Amino acid sequence: MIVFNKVSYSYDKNSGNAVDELSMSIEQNEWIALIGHNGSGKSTLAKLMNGLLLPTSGTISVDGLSLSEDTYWEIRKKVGMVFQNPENQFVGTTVMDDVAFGLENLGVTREEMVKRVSAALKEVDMYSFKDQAPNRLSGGQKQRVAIAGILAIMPEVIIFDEASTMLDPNGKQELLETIKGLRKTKKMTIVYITHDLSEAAYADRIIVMNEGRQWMSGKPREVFQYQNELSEIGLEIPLISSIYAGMNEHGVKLEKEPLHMKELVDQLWKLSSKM
Amino acid sequence: MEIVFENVDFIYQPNSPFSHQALKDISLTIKDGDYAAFIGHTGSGKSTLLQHLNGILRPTSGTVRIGDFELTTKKNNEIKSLRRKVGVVFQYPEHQLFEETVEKDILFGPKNFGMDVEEAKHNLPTILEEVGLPTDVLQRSPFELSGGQMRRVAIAGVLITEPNVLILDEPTAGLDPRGRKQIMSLIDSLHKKKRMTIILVTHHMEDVLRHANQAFVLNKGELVMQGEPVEVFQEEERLRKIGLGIPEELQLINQLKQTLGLPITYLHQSPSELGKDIAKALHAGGNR
Ligand SMILES: Nc1ncnc2c1ncn2[C@@H]1O[C@H](COP(=O)(O)OP(=O)(O)O)[C@@H](O)[C@H]1O
Ligand SMILES: Nc1ncnc2c1ncn2[C@@H]1O[C@H](COP(=O)(O)OP(=O)(O)O)[C@@H](O)[C@H]1O
Ligand SMILES: [Mg+2]
Ligand SMILES: [Mg+2]
Repeated sequence: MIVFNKVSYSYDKNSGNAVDELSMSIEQNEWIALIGHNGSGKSTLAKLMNGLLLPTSGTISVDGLSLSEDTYWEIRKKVGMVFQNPENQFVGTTVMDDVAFGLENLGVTREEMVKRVSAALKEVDMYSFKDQAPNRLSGGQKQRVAIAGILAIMPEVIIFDEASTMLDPNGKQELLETIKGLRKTKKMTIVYITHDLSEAAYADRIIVMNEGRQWMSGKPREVFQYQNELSEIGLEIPLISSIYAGMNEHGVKLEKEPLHMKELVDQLWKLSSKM
Repeated sequence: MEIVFENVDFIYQPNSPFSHQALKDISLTIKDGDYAAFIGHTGSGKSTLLQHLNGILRPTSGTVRIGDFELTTKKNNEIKSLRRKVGVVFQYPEHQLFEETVEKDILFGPKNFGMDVEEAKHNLPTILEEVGLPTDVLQRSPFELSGGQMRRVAIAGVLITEPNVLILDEPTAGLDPRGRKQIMSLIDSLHKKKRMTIILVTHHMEDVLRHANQAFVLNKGELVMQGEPVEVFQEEERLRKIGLGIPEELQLINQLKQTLGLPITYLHQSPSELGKDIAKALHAGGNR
């Protein structure tokens, strides 16, 4: 779906590369978690993926289309992006208008528009706010409306650039459930940028960025083996993984590394029934 | 400085079709030297409540007392002296940095409050050390700094006015795990060494458990629970009903008790110590 070939990007000639000779690919329908400390190049990478930035060198293709001055507009429709900070994204006078805004230039019928907007707002649990002014919402509520705006456009790839940062734990969980739900009903590629490795655990694959490069790529279980190395680059494995590491040192061995609490408790239950 | 709320209501845009009651009959006390945490679903009124503490908002009815200072529905001209005593680091403080250099940004408060700017300047190295910034950032533009460093600049800008109370609205939102840990331990040391009263808003329940000594739970503008964090978090069901979780380690302890009957007590263990305790409890159970 997305292929990077030796891509570099630098914001100005005097500073180093924010993304440095990066090659990687993301398959259609894959859920990628993109992690890395602040400043490691995640947002720059995301903006390259949807043509908000063009590479300084190297090539990028999205859905078979090679990114250039001529194609970035096409690519932006395929790759929707939900940003970190929703404050600046609002244009409509009501939540409903705001979510509909992105659809207005896409030639969607009025009927279809209402349907999509309602569905998108329900998915982020903001339907009851549909007639309110977006600027009266608190931060987390605004973010959910911004997410609905992208969902309504139904792009092929959605990038969430730390979109969960401002949500409370329930909101985070809802967002993750929303993504799971989306992937069940339609083909949808997800790039989920986060610092929270327990959220990254839900992805099919994790790409770890460091200093503008891909530092590691693998299934969550594989990546979480590297507790010390991750902590050296400013990251922290999920709490459950740390707790399991402590148990493991004291003689509790489970069949597979638990990623969530449920996996840990279920396996402990099996183990103890054999003891 | 003791902080007391007495029957505080707050209504946004009262007497208009958009009127919205964000605080309902809030009464609470934060004692001098407390480390208080406010938790609640998005929109529950946390930021609204905090804005009463330094007079950005005034109660629609009821009274807020901060030390000798009383905030009521009436305008009060001494608000500047209150703001000096009660420093606020807002949500996303980097949006408030606006001067060309870090130094100017930090000195904005002292200037604004009519403090001795030369003396404040003299204190800069100490403050920078406290917040963990190198002195060479002073002449740099705040916008060249990393997210974590910008938070520190914002905290430094508040500390330099020597407040008694430090209020932080989600100070670690958006920071990576290392940045978050550093800010949390900075707050800890301000609380312990400078005996500042700390008021924290956060969604990180494990930070509440680890750092605060009082937790206040807001729901739809009402204060629904308060107490020591460990006690408050014992009410898992009640919290869940209002959209809040409890720290993961407590969740795990509860589940192991329910499903396996493992008796584990939370005593502020580190994750790996907790793992060890679970292993021990398992083995003890197995030998039975
Ligand atoms: N608009 C910009 N101008 C100049 N440098 C930038 C800009 N945006 C990001 N950078 C720099 O590029 C690097 C990567 O940043 P970014 O992609 O935002 O990282 P992340 O999203 O992982 O925090 C950092 O060193 C950052 O300071
Ligand atoms: N300026 C405002 N005008 C009208 N309503 C507001 C304003 N700011 C916040 N609110 C409303 O007040 C309630 C509490 O908001 P807030 O204090 O920001 O909550 P929290 O900080 O807990 O997320 C929310 O329902 C929000 O929509
Ligand atoms: Mg970023
Ligand atoms: Mg708030």
